[in-house]
Amino acid sequence: METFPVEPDLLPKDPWTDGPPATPETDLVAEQEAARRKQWLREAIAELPESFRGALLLRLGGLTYQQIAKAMGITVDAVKARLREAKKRLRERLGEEPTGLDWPAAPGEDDDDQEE
Amino acid sequence: MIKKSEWTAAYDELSAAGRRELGEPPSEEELLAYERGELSEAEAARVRKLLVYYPELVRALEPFPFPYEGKPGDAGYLSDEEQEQDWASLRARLGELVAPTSGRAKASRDVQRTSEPVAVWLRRWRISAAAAAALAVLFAGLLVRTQRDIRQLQQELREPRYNVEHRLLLPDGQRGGTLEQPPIPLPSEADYLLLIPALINNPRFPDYRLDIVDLGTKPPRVIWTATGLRRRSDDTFEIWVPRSFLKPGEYRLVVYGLDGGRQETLATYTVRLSS
Repeated sequence: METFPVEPDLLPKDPWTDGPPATPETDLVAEQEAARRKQWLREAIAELPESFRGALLLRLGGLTYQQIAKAMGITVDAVKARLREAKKRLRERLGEEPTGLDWPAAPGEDDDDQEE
Repeated sequence: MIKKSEWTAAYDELSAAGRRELGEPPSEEELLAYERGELSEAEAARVRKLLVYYPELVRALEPFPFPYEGKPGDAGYLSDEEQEQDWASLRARLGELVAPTSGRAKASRDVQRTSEPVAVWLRRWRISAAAAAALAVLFAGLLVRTQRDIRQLQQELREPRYNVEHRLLLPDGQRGGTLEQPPIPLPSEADYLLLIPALINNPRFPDYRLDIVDLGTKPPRVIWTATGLRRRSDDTFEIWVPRSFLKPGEYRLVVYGLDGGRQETLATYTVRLSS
């Protein structure tokens, strides 16, 4: 059977991305990849020691350092230290920088978090 | 690069799991006692553990500051001696309040005599303050919950609708051979029901009204009414009804044409919803 090459411009495009059209297979792969990443992050957080995990969860819950300190009965500096340690451990566990969160600056550096 | 949605998803799941594992949040009394440092170390540790999964309670506690723990040199710092003086002065003033006829000099001289009413007053004040604080925590909790519900509702309103069961309705008496509208199933996966009443050969009116009447009650009761309905070019109306709004049963939709003060019944649609 003879086949003819198809000009790329003639192929249908995904109207949202202008890329190749999404197929049920590509959708499924993307969905599975997203689920896998969520599980990977959840497990990494769950494996943190309780004190670091608690500070991180409260931070993810939208609390300020001051509020976390109040909830955990520790100082603001201790909260920041715990969050820095949590970040370090997540980086080791995940193998990549845990971006996407406002982490406290290292001691001595300018802390851009002005909430306190 | 970890996306914000990934953090949020991880947090939501861990938070839900923590709540399931640890159970109910601390009570208002426990929170206030924790706030005042009145709990034993074991109880305080339990509250701290729970607060990790109930951050809204931490926010609710915000108006009530921790006991001041300053050091000499800090603004507003009071030494033990100064605190003692302040306390004695307060007691003297309170002594005047509770025993106005005794006079300031007498109250100052004889703090011992006035200490009993002062204690009673203080105890009442503490009870009132604790009750007020508990109420404040309660209202703050309610506020947080209401805001969360509103956020959820707003999010739902912004999102596309799906799982919509739709049905074209023909007026009663104009269905040809079919006398009765076939029952409309309310499948559990349908969140919305799109009802499309159609008008047949009815004159146009500047405005329309639609009533939904529950025929299951005695007497039948109008459960929803709206004016300003837009008649589409194909002589139909579209009514989106949340599934939770209607229970299985028999309903009648009544469409009226409105022209100034005049109202004319144009069509009725009897529908039966089955589960």
